[in-house]
Amino acid sequence: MIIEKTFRQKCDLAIRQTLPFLTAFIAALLMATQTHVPRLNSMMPMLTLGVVFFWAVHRPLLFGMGSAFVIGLMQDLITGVPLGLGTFILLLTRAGVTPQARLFLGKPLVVHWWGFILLALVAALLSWVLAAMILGVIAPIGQVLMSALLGVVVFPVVYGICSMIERLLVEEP
Amino acid sequence: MKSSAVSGRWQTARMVFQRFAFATLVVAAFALMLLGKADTILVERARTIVVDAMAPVIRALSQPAGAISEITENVRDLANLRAENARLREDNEQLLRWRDMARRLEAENTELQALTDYVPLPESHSFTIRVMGDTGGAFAHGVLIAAGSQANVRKGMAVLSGDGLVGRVAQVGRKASRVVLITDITSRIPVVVENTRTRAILAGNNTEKPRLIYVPAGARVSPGDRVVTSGHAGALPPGIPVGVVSSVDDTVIRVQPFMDRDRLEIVRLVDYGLSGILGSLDEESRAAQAEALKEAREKGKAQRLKDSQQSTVDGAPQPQTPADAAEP
Repeated sequence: MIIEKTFRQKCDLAIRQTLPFLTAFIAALLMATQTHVPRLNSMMPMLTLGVVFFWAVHRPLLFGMGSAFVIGLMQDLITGVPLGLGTFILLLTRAGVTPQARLFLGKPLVVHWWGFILLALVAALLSWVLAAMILGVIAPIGQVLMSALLGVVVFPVVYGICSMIERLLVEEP
Repeated sequence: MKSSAVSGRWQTARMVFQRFAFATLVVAAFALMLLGKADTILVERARTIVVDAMAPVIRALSQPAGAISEITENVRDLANLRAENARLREDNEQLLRWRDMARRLEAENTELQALTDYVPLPESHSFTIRVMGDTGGAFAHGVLIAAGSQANVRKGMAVLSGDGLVGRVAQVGRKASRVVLITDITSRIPVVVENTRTRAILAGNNTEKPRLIYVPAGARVSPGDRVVTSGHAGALPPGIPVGVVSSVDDTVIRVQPFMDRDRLEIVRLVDYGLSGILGSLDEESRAAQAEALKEAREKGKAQRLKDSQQSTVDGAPQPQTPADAAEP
């Protein structure tokens, strides 16, 4: 017997399915807020990278490459970094992590954490090289690595929040 | 029948896109990088639109951090109340002495200006704006302020904090604007070392301590020297405090800015009426400025030729000046 969904149920499902995109969107906006914490603003943790990593592993169908592209583009436009830099990094993350999802699915946080450490390091070095090529000057690598390190430190929080949101996603199309 | 054909074609197109999505989007990302280099006006406009649209959300997200910071600041202030009071008394005494001297110098200055028919700089007008976001991280140093063209913010305006120069307005939206800080890797400010009047360019490098470049050979710069704007290039008036020289070695002179990026809450936007290097100009003004620039270049070339002939005669090469270096 096929149970037809009501309009309200359809709306509810549609809203739930946009949650992965919304979390990445909020993470991108959070990276542009003022923290008032000494020195933190010049090495903001890689929040969006953590969020994209989580959804690329857990709900790749709800967070496609188009979503990664849009979030990266928006982040570049808001934060004033060279256009295309964040877009490329997030796109690469989404494309590279999803095929490896089986290494992380059903595993504890520590496994995710190790994966993210590797990802953050690669993303930091790649973005540093790309930024140097685009800007024509070499930005201090220490800040980029610190930004990656802070991203790694806050990753368990990002993981916890995204896991809670994932529980709201009762079904996936 | 017709609708099923359309839906079939749609599904095929979708499948093709999915197959080539990654390649297409990677190409699009590289195209964006090229576009950012090639068409800065278009990209600037896009940034302005997005920041303008997101301004209320960023402001709302910044509020909890602002509130926490305010509370911790208050607690710290309360703990330091006695020491702070003693320091303020001392400062006050010192400032009163400075005030007397300033009054004497002001009177003397007015008299000398009248004697020499001095043409003063245009008068400035300023207003204060709240900082609502800090952007960029390791690759760009900038802040978002909660005012745009609706509040008469103009591109190129100087942005000051209570301590000194913060940066310049680089993009103006309707309700929000972006300020490029003096520590940003793209920032170049003509400055002078206050006591020796040594000209240089303060070059941001995305660290907390920008560098002085194009310092004339043999110039005497020591740690602790104050650095102020020189007023060259018509971007900023002279004399705005920028920072102090923090270290000097054989190759690098670093400056510790007076402004503290982490404590920027309210900034002062000052319009000195100088179009400068960033100002938005109409076609006529651009043509006039290009003409003036060409004339200045020719004059500079003639001067350099004269100098080189002179130095050949004297047998000593002339040092490069910051004005030469700043010339595009």
